[in-house]
Amino acid sequence: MEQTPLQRALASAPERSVEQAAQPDEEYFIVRVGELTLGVRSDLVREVTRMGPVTPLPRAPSFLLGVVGHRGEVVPLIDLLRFLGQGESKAGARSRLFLSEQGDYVVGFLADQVIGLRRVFVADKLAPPAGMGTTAEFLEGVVQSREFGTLSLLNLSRVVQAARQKALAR
Amino acid sequence: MDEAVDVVLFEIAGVRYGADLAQVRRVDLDDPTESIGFPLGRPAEGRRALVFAAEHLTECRLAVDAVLGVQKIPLAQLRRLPKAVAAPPLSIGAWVDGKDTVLLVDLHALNPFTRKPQDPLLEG
Repeated sequence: MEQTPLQRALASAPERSVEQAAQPDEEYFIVRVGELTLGVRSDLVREVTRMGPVTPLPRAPSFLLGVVGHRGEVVPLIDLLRFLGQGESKAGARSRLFLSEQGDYVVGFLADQVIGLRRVFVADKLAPPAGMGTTAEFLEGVVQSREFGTLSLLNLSRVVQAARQKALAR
Repeated sequence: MDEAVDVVLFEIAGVRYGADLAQVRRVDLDDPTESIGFPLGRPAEGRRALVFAAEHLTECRLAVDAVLGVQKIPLAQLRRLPKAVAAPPLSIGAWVDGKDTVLLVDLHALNPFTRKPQDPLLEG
């Protein structure tokens, strides 16, 4: 029996989107901290969870809010806003802790809200625009998004490295 | 039986801390003239003091709001501080008490005259 045009078309249809196959992408957690909406590479995020009680560390840098106990592990908690010099976070009902694991290091970050996961085409990434001050140093780029406008993609590895250096320097 | 250590728990400005019982000589009324200052923050009331031995047979006093008691803490509940972000030398570890984390401090390191620049335990 002769195939219909639709059947012929389906027989030669690709397995997945040609556009996607040609455009590698990466997955990011979208988080809100203060006025900033940031993308954090999902492979660097081990877990997103509710905030537990924070134990302050005496004489610690201001961006290091303290430590939190999480599943029997003691994790340092960083306020990204203070670290980036963009103000300070206030823990609220929607606040979340996202844990990043990099080698031996596990670090927690306070987020006002975790919006969810989004995919970003690598080709759409642009260099951080001039005028972002010190924040630009900790970005791997920005992307234009219909949903969020200009979305800043955080270089979490660089943040952890710099936080550690700043803490050690004290 | 699991190994355990005796820890003196105390509170300063609403934050609980712990110190090795072996370092504490006694609990006393606070005497501001003999206090070592406020290395863990200023107490809200400061009615009590932990008295601990210092070098050359002298004593130091740390003003605290309250001494909560002595707790025998199993080793399994003790943690070194995370090395991702180095902690200051005063803090030597933590006790995971359920959802809470209690900071464990070295009383000798609180003394401004014997404070070490960096605790090697905390270097990653």
